[in-house]
Amino acid sequence: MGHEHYTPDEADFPATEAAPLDALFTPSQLSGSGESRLPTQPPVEDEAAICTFVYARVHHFASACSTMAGAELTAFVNEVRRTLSSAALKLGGEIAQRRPDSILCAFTHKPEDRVPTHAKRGLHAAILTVHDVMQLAARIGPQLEAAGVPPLWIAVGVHLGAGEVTPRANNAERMVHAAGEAVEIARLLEGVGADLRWGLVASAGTRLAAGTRVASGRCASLGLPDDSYLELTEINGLVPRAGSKTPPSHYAMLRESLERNQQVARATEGAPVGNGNLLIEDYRVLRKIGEGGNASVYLAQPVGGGPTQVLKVMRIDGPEGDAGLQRFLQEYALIAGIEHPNVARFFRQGFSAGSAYIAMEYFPLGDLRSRIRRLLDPAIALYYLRQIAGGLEAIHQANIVHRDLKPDNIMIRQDGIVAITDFGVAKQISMLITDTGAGEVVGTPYYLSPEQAQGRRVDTRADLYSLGVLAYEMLTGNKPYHATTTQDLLRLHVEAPVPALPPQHAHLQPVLDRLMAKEPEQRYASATELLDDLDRLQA
Amino acid sequence: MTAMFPACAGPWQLQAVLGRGRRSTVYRGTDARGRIAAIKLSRDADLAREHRVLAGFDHDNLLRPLDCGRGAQGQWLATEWAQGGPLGAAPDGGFDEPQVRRWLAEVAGALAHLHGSGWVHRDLKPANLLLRADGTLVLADFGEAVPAGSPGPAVPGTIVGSPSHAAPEQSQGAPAAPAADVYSLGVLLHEWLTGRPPFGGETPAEVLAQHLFAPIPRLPAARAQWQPLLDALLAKDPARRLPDGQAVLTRNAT
Repeated sequence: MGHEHYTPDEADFPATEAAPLDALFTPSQLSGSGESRLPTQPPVEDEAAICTFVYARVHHFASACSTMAGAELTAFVNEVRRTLSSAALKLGGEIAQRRPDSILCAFTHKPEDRVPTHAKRGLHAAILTVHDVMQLAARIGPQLEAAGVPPLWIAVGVHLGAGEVTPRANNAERMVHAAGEAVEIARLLEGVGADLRWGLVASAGTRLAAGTRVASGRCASLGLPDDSYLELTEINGLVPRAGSKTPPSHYAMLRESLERNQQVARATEGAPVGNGNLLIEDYRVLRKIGEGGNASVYLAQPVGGGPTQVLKVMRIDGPEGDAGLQRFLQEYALIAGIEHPNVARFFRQGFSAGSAYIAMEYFPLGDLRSRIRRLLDPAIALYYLRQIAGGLEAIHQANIVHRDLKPDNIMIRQDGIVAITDFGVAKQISMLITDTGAGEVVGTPYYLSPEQAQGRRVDTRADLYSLGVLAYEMLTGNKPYHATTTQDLLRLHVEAPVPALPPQHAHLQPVLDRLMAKEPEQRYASATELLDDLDRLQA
Repeated sequence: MTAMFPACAGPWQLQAVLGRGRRSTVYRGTDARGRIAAIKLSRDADLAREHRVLAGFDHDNLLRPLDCGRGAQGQWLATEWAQGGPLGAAPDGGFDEPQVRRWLAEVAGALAHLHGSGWVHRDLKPANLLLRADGTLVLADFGEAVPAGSPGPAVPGTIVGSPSHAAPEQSQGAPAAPAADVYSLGVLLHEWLTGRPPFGGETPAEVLAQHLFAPIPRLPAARAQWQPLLDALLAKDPARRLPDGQAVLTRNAT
């Protein structure tokens, strides 16, 4: 099969190129809050200006080449080269770098434009490039399939930001030099487009600056090495301008091409590249609130709306990746099944490019520690005790031992209800963070049961001991055991008698004795038994 | 924003991420001569210091430094690239005897050298033991290393090193002493012999408490001949522990 089979004639390029694109340069099309930040004056020479960068890369290019030789190969390489640059050049883009399978284009502000159009031109060029590559892929598809080679697809990253674009000396193609962070981000977004199989990915700001005619789909947040976050969006088509004379079929065609590209991408094998950057779909990351080598915790807003959530993320691309992932899945299934007003809510689990995460309830009011700094009213203390016991009952019924029940892990909701957090897989992620590095404050084991201190078998009754310590603290304002060294404190947990409650709480002493008994066999058998006992006391 | 995507550090072109720590990222890099090195990059860690520390040693089981410098992304440190990467988790049942003996001798040798030079590593754990292509182990990451006798952290409950491998006194504000590294070697030895850590703590508090308080576990019958050495490494009281790497070497040779 010769290259004649896929040599483009003008008919292969859609009429969409002419008609809807004229409208691109109509300033009235610009809208959205993002634009207010864009400079409206021509950029000053020799200084980084705001431009839009498009980085596109054809995947499976090398394997396609391997099926060809000689003149056919040359023609194919030229064809890909033309296809990658054609839309960009027509829309006023400049080529900054080209490789056989990829291209970097810069769209700069044109002094004659009243308002910047580079984001719009860049995104439209990106959409058309995907379409053109899909046309090409369709033409040579049969040939590749016959040779057992995977079909071509393309990933494109589009980002608007500060960059330096300068003409190159002595070059006939009028190529430019492009440098700056925005260039690197456009490259990074191409990788994201490939990893997520979205194909065409733009930063949310670029999409906004391009105006309302660019249709977007899913969202994601990308963590950058400097701990900032970039909101991304999938681009899935063009919307006709009001009063457009372009046939709707042209827009449908572009959408179909973008979609077909994603289908091909999804069908291809290959591990995500990841680049080591955090990538979370459907969330807007607000800030990082904890970090270790293999895990981190973020505050994030679901893109679909709803309250802020906590994302606990662990890397699963390490040497223990598969085992870690399996444990993660099992543990998540356990905690996700728990529905109880006194247990923190888990919203979802997810995976993306080398990491797994859980999304859980965020408690802006903080934890119980702040509440018990002052002595609680006894009725409130009992109210909390019953709630925590109720939460424990639910956790234990899911066969989970909390193992680290303490005021820091009991959170307060807006309505004053308390909820237990940091157990199961959530605790594993916390553990990863603690175990990473030096200078970590592990805390003093005030709430640890004797069997945990001694490394003996631990079951749900260990949590009842911790609850006993907490009950004593809520009722008296003091911890039951104090010592100058941690060893001595642990020895008190194992050996010292259960402390006596002050006279006004004497009726609760039997409850405390059965919570804080040294041997698990002497404690309540379950949180249910404790709750029954408290009911009897109040009756 | 600063430049974010490091392409190079000094003469080194960065190629791939080898690992990430809390304060640094390690890349594989090459230079114009085609040499391959591990390049550690950090915004806030004092890598020039780590370079000086490493350069003061000369032992086959200590990571060999190449050069260091400062760039837009902070400091960088180039060292030999240990192709096999960090030592992974031990398999169920542990490694075979000859393997354990060889690694024990290699790590004890490295410790003997650095203890002999007056230093304490303070963060001995599998992630900081790298395998060369020829199968030898090298001790890496001297970010926590200090001269013996340096004061411990002032904040109570603050732990130096990783809770899973740190000696009991490392969470109790004790000054740095070689015996702490000996304890961490004991934790490693238990993992190599059984495939499990000596204490089954699943929370930081449990791990901390068990290092401080739980009895040293008994090895399974097939590994029982190691028990006396394990007891001498994992003694809670540093005064009752083998004092340093040289003592472990001597003990192990007899």
